[in-house]
Amino acid sequence: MLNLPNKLSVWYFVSGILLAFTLLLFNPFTPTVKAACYPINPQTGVCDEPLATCSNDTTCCNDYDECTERKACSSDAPHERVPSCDVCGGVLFCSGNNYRLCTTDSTFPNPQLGINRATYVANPPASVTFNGVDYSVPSGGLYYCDSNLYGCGNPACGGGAVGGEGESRLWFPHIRLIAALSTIAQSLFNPKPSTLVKNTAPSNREPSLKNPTVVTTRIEEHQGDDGTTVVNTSDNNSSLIVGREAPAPLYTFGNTSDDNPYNDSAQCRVDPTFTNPGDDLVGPKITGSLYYTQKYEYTAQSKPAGCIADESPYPADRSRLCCSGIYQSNFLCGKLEDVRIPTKGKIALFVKNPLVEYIYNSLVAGSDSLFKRFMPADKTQKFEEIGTPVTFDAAASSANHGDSQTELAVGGDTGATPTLYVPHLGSLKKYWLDDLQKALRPQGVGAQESIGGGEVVSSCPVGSPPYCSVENLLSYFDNDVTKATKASIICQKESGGFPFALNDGCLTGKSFDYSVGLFQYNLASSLNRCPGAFKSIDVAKKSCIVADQKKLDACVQRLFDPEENIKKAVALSGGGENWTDWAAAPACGIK
Amino acid sequence: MIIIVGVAFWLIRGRGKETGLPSQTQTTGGTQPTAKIKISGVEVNDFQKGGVSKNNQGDSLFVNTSDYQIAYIPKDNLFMISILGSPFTEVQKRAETNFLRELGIEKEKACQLKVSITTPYFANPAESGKTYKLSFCQ
Repeated sequence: MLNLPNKLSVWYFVSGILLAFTLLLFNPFTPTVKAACYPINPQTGVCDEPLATCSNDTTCCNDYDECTERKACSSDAPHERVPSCDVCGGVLFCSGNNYRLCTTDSTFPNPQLGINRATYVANPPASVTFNGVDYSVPSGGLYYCDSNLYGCGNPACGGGAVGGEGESRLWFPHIRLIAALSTIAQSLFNPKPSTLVKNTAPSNREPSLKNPTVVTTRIEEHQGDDGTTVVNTSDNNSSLIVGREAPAPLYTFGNTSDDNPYNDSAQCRVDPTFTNPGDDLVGPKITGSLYYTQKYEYTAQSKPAGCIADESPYPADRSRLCCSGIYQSNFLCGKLEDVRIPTKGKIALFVKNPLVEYIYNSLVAGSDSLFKRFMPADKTQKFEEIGTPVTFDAAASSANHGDSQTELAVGGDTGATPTLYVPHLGSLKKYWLDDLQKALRPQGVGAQESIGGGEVVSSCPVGSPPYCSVENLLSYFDNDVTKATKASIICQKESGGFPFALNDGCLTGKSFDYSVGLFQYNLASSLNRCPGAFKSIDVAKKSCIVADQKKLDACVQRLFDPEENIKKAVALSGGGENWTDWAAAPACGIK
Repeated sequence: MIIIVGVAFWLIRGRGKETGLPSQTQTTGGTQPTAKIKISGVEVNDFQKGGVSKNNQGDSLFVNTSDYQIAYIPKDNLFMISILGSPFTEVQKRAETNFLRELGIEKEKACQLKVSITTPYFANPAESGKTYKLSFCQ
């Protein structure tokens, strides 16, 4: 410990130490480091690393701020913002790409080149020079950054990219989710999807992007396995297990156990199926063999001693008895009828539908389904289960039976067409493919799923179902989407898709129309369009006189039929080639 | 007394009888339907009983006035309201009111139905081509 005489001495001592540190930090005698600039390397034609290249492209300096040759910046590429400053919210924002390569105020600190780093100056100078332009700094301060983001990306100032006019990107609803779905869907078609992990153990079967194939398909009904056990680790139990016990029968055949054709030997085998482009299930013939042994018991009745054989005469006094016990009126012994005991056996077919339940849950009905995220709550309260019927041909034949009276039936006792019902596929089609697609469609394009009020904005959108939609019209126009789309627009514009639309303007001289139905087929444009209906038509006066109201009504009624009306439009437009006869066509830019 | 009753009868008969479709179809379907049917889970008056016209698809026109028409498309469980008068918004409001009355339902229930409102080009060129929803369903 130091032995100091008094408080004053302590003060001098401390001051002396502080002074010493100050001199060390700000030694006025330390020589100043001069700007180090050099000519460009003549051998390489560029500046040696790590020297900065000055704007004249011939000088290289230790730091760009040491360059004396600077020029005003412009955008080097169309997407770049010319460095400049704008006041927003009382703050001066200075931004622009790589502004320090250009003429700038040297009082700006040096953010690392190319880094989108914003700097805020709390005690701003009264003015700054940025890219050769002087700006007054408002009381809010100064923000500057080395980026192409207007207002340094501040959303309150438009926040977007080049141009300073704000967000220039158009976002359709849910586009990010759709993109994610697309990524997943696309990855499923990769030969070796690196992002998808299959065959995860049950304990790790939480749905995730990495594990979308998590099996939630209920398999407890199949082969004695429950949903928590992965028996077949190669495919999470989505395939049959060959030779394993078949599931319990879907229905019983009788009240007694003896009548049940199932037994412990019923086993499974794998028969692969695939789908063709028409979605018909195609697969090899699935056969089943039913082997059975029919047991019967009978108790033989003893014949009377010396009895008479079948179909032999017996005495009228019946002194000798017929062996059969049957005495026919022609005095011949009768014959006992064969006793036929029917045998009933059935072969049941069952199939698995791998992942159907998982897909249905994750897309439509599950608690966290995508459908529920997209759609309003009132549309996700209840889902209708729509099973998809798959009919198949079946035939039965007997072998080694040796009995022509054997009856073999397929399709159950009723003889109906044998049908499998694949669960959920119909519901998936309705909710996921139809309803959601409509809901996500940009307004004005195609049919809209009603998810709220309001107007569908667009002057000439394509028509809505059921009649004016492109889908409905496609088959009438040779499946040509362009023609069908034009037709759809005309249909929607002319009648609003209202099949009973009727413009009888020629009766009042309002317009030269007696136009009917979806496409406003004009009966008044020619006397031949509804023969005998009009007495006269006058284009100039926009008038018509009805000769036979009943005939006219009959024509109108026919044209109220959407199919008939569409066919008229097909004919009149030359198969969708020429729409000049329709008044609404020019309004929609259709010829 | 007889005259008063006669006038009253004439007035009742005349309601909604406006121009529109061919001669046999010139009235609303307003025959005071009392039977109920369910459409899209909503119980409504059996409007088809008093239907004005039907086409081969089973579509039923059940209200037909000079200002608007209302039809039902069973294929899609869809009600279509076609606005024939103008101004469009005013007529739309009247049509919507009549729609509720014909079906005997409140607005809340109506919003559960599939309803599209359109107008043909000859009636309201500016508003045609678009599909509108019931104005009170938001």
